[in-house]
Amino acid sequence: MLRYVRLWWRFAIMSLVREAEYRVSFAVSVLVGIISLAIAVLTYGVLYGYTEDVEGWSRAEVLMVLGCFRVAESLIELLVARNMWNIAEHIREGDMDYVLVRPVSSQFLASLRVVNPSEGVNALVGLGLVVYAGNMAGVEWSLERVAAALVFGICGLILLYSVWCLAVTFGFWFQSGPLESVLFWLIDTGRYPVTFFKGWVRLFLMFIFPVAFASTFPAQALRGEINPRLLLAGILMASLSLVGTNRFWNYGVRHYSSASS
Amino acid sequence: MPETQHSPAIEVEGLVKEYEYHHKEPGLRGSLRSLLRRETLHKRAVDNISFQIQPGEVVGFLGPNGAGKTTTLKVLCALLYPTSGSVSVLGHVPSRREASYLRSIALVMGQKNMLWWDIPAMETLLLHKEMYRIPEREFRTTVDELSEMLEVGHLLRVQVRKLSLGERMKMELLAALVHAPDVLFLDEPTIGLDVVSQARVREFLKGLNAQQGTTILLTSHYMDDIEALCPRVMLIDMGRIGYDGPLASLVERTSPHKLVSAVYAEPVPRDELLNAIGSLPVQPTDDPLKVSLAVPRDQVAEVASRLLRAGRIADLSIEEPPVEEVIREVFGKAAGERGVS
Repeated sequence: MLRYVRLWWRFAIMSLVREAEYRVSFAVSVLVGIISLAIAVLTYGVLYGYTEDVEGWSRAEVLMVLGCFRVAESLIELLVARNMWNIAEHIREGDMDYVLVRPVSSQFLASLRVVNPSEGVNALVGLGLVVYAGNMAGVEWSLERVAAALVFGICGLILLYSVWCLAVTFGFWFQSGPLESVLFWLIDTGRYPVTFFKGWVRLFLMFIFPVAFASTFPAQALRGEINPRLLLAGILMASLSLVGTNRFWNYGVRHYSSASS
Repeated sequence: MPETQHSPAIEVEGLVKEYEYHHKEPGLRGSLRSLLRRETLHKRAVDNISFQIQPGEVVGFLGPNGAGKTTTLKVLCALLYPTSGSVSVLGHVPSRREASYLRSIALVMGQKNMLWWDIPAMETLLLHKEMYRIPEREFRTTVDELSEMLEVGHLLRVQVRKLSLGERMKMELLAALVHAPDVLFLDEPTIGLDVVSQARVREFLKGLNAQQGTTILLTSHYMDDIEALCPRVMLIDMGRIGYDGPLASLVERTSPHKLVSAVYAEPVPRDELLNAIGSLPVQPTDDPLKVSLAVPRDQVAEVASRLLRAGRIADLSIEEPPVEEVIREVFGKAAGERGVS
């Protein structure tokens, strides 16, 4: 485990060294992040111009959800997004060769080796929004609440990672599908409290594509609503999905055909 | 490597690798149809191959494109899962993908980059240090040693994209070898390199084999690589091994002729020349003063002296036929035999 942390740290350093080469694109990506967040904040401004409360969420609380979502989304971008986009292509073009030949988990290498450091700034901006909106909503920052929010958030990240990883693993059999891009758009649903959605859509966003764990639930925990059963479900789901995706990945690797050069 | 001293480094028995692919009709309608009902076809890239390689051997895989050389190599590297047959490398079954196995081998592909493009090679070396768990001191010594052998010490801190193709290839070799593997797999390691770089890489591989006893298995399109490096070659065509043995005896066996060429200083009387040539087949040349003959091995001396006597000679040479030609001949024959059976 420690070894993998060190390995990831190496990836982060390498990505930073590389990013330093492209300072303009670094700045642009931070700017784009901030603008898109600002647009989302303004949209809520319009919505709450008409009402004080939507489905039990005040304006400040919804901004907390948005902040949590922003943190989660940025961390996904920071850690895995670029890799996931590449995997399908790497499988198709036979570029997984140098990943599979290393004495390290190939899933780890393939899904985490490229780090996108500029998103770190966006994650911090998102965190700033959480704190700002939380204060506006009168949140008590107790250890219990913050810890619960963190656990929810980490479970959410693991779940989103797993779903995405599961989707790209199919690439070992099928030459890439639109599945990954659909998932990428689906993630946007996380910017709204999951209670805005009804029926099966809500269930879908909680348990099938569990983006709620990364945005709504942490915000709820900060608000003081900590549902221990939900917390437990999150931990269980996250652990199972990690094991499951790893098994599936290793099985998929057997079907790698390495597009002969 | 005490555990591999008495047993082969690589042992392959009845290896088969089939690829699945789908038949697709052209056009939109074909695509739609194949969405509903796909015809799955199988292509046998490797068809029942068996061989053994001893520790410290350098073996070359020869064969046309799509013959199955690279596929075999990739099965050995644990990249491809074999369809059937047994494979053992250094006592491991590659397809189990054990970390201890992957740590003891290395793969270099001339057409792919393992080095990160925008940053100095040293960064990738440090990554390998982490991945292969190389102790600090060992890492320093190995990098110093290898970079000296490859003459790239001064380039370690230069961005990879600023290196020439030859320098980059040497750097790729360095990166592949920092963990001191026992077996090195090379797929077209000199492709696209200029003659000088090619020679340098060959020299390095030779030295590596001699000093570290590294077992090397390589595929190459360049006959010079094979000639310079591989005392033993395997011809692979249509997924089967057509020949396994020394290159020299392959040439001798396949082509019982040598090429005798004479360049004259001035035009030679026609009769004299015809007399010297006798009934031997004449090879086309682009020089009117040059005669080239394919001569059976036992008549070489006699024919050469006849050519010398025929006129004022400027140059006389006796050569083995180009290996490329020999190979072409082997594969041509093999194809013919298949046609008959």
